[in-house]
Amino acid sequence: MLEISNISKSYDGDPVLRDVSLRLDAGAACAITGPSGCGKSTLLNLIGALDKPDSGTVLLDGKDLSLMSENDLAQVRNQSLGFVFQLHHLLPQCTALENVLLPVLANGKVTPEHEKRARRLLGRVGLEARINHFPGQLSGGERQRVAVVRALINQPKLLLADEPTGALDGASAENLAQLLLELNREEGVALIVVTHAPDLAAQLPLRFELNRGVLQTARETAKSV
Amino acid sequence: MNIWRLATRGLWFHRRTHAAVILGVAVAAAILCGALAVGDSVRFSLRQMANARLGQIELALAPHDRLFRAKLAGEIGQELKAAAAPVLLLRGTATTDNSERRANRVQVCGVDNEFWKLGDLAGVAPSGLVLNEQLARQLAVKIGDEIVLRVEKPALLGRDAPLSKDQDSLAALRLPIARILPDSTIGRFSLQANQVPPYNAFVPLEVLQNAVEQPKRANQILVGGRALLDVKSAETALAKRFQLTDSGAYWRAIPGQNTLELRSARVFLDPALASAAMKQAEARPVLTYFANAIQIGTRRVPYSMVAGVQGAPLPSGMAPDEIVLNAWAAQDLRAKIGDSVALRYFVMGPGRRLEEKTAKFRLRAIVPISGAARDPNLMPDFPGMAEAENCRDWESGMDVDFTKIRPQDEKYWDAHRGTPKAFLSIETARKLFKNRFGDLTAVRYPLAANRANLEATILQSASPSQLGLSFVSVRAQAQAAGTQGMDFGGLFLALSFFLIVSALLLVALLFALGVENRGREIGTLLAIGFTPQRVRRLLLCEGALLAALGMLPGALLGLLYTQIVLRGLNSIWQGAVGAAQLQFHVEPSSLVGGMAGGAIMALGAIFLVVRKQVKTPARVLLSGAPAAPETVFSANGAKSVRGSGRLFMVALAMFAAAVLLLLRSATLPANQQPSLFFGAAALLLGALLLSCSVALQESPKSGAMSLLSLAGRGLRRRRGRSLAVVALLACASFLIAAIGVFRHDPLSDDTLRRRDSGTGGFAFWAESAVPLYQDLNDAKGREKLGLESVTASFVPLRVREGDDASCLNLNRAQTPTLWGVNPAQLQTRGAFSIIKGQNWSALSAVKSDAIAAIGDENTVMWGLGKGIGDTLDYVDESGQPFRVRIVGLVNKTILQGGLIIAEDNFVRLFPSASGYRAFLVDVPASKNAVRAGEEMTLALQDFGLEVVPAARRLALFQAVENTYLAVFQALGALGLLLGSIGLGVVVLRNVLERRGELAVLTAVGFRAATLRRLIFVEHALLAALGLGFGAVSGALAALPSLHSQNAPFGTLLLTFGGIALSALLWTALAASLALRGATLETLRNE
Repeated sequence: MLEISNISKSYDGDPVLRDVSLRLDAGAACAITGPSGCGKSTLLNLIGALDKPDSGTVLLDGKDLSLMSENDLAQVRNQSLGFVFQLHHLLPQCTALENVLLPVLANGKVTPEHEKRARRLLGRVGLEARINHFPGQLSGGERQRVAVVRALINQPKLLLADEPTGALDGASAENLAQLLLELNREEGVALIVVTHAPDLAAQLPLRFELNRGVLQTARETAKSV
Repeated sequence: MNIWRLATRGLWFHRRTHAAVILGVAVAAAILCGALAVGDSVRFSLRQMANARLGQIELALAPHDRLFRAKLAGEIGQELKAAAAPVLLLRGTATTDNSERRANRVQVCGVDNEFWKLGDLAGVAPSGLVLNEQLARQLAVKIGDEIVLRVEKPALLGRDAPLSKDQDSLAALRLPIARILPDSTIGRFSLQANQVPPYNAFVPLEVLQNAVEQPKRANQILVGGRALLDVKSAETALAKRFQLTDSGAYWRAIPGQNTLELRSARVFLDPALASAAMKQAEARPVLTYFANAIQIGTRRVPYSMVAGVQGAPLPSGMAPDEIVLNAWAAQDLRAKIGDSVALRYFVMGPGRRLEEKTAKFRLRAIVPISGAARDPNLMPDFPGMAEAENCRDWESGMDVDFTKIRPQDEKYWDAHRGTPKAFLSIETARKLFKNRFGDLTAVRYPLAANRANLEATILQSASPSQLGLSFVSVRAQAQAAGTQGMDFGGLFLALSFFLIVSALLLVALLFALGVENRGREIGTLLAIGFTPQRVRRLLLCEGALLAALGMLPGALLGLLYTQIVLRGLNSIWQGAVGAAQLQFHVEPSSLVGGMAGGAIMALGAIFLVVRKQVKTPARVLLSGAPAAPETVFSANGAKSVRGSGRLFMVALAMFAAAVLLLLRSATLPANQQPSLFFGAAALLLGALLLSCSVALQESPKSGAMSLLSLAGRGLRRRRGRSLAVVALLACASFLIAAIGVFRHDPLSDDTLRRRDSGTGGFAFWAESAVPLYQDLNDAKGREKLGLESVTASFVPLRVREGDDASCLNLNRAQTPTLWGVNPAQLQTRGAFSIIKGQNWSALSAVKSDAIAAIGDENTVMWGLGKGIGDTLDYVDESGQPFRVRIVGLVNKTILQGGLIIAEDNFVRLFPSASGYRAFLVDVPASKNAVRAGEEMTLALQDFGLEVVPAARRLALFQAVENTYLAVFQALGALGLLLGSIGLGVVVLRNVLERRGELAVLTAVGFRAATLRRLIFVEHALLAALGLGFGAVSGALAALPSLHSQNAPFGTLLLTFGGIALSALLWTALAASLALRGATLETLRNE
């Protein structure tokens, strides 16, 4: 489903990623760890079609992201990918439900079916009572759960999580990690988690480590590398 | 959930930031609504004035110099089933009983009750003398006071016609004031559109008719009192009721000659009438003229009538060079058949100058004084002669030398009166004596002819309009003048330019600030699949909602703005509206237009901001980093120095050019200096801005750190933004300061004696209420008027009264005043410089399709909306349309308000418009001009001569432009003041972008107050640079006006002080707001 071949990326002449390759099948889940500044977020941005590599290709379902127009990339982000950021990036002016429905709105009209799915997913993550609350009225963990549901609303094939537990306390972080894994299983969505939290990484079946821009397999030999 | 709901959510959530944007939109909409409402108010006020000056009058028959039966008005009223009033309107002067106060150019209107009905004063129809408020104020009189009115006696025969009297042309009336009418009523009656009420004195019709010896006569008919009155039906009614006597013609039966004669009280039959009369069966033309002498060798008979006739007493087969003398003349001259007879006679040249001509004939026959040769009726009703008992009692306008009249001549007059002593063929007589008033003095028929039938058929072919009697729809003209007049809405939009720009800039800055604050939100939307277009749409939706919300308060603010502007126009800015009192009025369409316009412009500004914002990649926005790349400082700065070196050279070159311009200006006359100073100042401003740009490009030198150097580095971070702020403030303040250069103060301009200046080098412009017929450049003419002691030369102008097309009239002139002048008088003097088109001599060129005219550029362009080659339609005195083509323009002169045509063309088109009513006066530089002016005024006070120094007349016109400039400066300063709030927003944006850096400074121990000072100093520096550059170059531009007493330096200083204070205040406020508690939070996030 996702195939990254020999991608490199530099900023202002400084190489951030060097010749990185990675393959991920549908429904698979992996963690990418590494120290700060190693290029984790850059890699996630490249996979998430938020940035383009200097060389190499990112194929999603066999389509090369670097050959797509901005509008096509927006479509890909909207339909095939889901993002969960370290900071939830919820719109403070919208309720939990409305935040979840935003990706639908990006590509057309919100239908009752969409709303039904949003409610169901919010219920699934234990927020049925908080549906009409604004982000300011939610706890950090709740906000992050809304962000996860927002990422799943369009039934993406791949969920990208950038330090999803980075801003959460221990219990909330644990809950969120469980939730991500459950959703990975239940919704059949592939999952890439970028984190430097060893506990979170340990819960994922595949683990890679980025070091000075080079991606290496950690602990287990990944069948997909 | 949809995009509008999302937008509404955003709107509410960011309501505090948005409130400021709404305020910006409101200001923009307010200025638009306000400016349009000012236009509405001016139009409404003009409409009100038009309604007041016309009352219920719809149509007017107002020929120049024509008198007809006053009863004709009633007859036309009957035909039209409308109210119709006869008016005898004469120009004159009014003085108080003790002659202490006077008013020139007074409209003395003889009116009856019908007029008051049309003026909606039927119930309280005033009797006795009624003044309007304007005249009463000028004379400082009240009801019961007596005043003296002097009016010109209307002459049936044009005063310029040969043998017309120029003496005894004035009549005086002393009357007590019965009533004073406010200017909001028919008291301001006038057929010309002007916001300044004329001086009106209303006298009972009969009283005025008797005073000017024209009983039962009127010269205007006003029709109205009901709707749907059209010119065509009025003309039909006029034609139906028109009688020969209304044209001044009348019948006389001469049984002794078995003749019925059609003759005219105007001496010469109108050409149209004469031509119609000659078409009738058995018509015989007569043209009798006054000869100075009939001469054979040295023998002469002085002052005799010579008649051109057809048939008896001429023998058949008269050749054109043959003459017949009566026996008396032949005997006196000892003439015999075949002798050469010289005929000396006067013709009227330009300036009423008599030119003696001589024609030579061969004596064909001598006829006894009997039969057709004994006919004193052949002499027309020459005023001052026809009724004279003796030759010495003649009061003709001709220069008669009474010493030449011999006893036998007196005896002839006693026995035969004006019986002609010589006869010519009618063809020869017409050739010699034809003039612009006509070429026949009578048309004769057999006595048995049916008078009534003749009259009917003659009037069928000579319509009243051919005699210059046409109705015009004065109501339609008034409406057109009001609606096509100066567009004050547009003018105030232009004058409010800086205010609008400032408001929009503020909208853009505030919206940008709001959007920048929401970088992560936009980044999120982009990350979850919103396309940039969709995000832009969302933000635009928000912008549209903001714009919509700003519209209503904008309209309310706009009404306030209108009130303030109107208050200004009715007081300190009254120069712009020529003394009109404007009333507040607003059309709903203006409010809607203003609101929509303001909202659309604000949305446009928002669109520009949004377009730039969504260009930033999502990952950058999500990271919270500054949206745009900052200046990259380099250690050696080698690259930037090369670029800045070039810029610095350009700046130096501009500075050098400015110095050169200043040096050049020192060699030029004072009136040409301002433009060079303005150029030099603009170059200086450019040089300063370039130098500033260079300084901002320089990488900061390492050295001692201070708060100031830190502030300087801060300015360099956003070089573009810093330079934009400085440039905007500098350009706006430069324009506001320098625009004063374009103010002209003719009263302190010593170049106005020059021929190419706005005064044409003339000392005075004079206008008289009553025409002057004498040649003021001729000793005799001066003697008659008591001007012997005045050393001056005159360029007289004939005046065909029309609309004032100068900038002092808010109405659009429909048919502007025409001035007829001898072009050679201006050409030889080199008076007034033609800036475009042909010179004065082009006025004399005969073109078949149009009459050439020269006008002032301001009048032609702004007053009439025309240019070179354009034409205007007029109607001549005989009702024939003609066109006036503009062939040349003079610039900013005392000739504003009308168009100048050649005198030859003028008298051809308006033969009855006799005499001169305007004068350009030259006073030799060695003489005391003020004294000469006073002497002229005193000598010609009965003619209502108003002598205005040419510089003052120019200043009057200039005051309008100066007021516009003052308004521009005031509104511009207000705009700059508003713009200074923008500086506060720039502070907020800059601080927002540098939160991290400021947080670090806090973390390392900077106190909040120190940080505030840092930010304040940094941005105050921007304001100081901008305003300083603008003020310095503005002051340089304004240097030539230093000597002018009216130079508004105090106001400018106050303005700049206020703006600087406001800029500092907003900067301080923004610095304090931006730094409040936000920095450490940022640091925690980092």
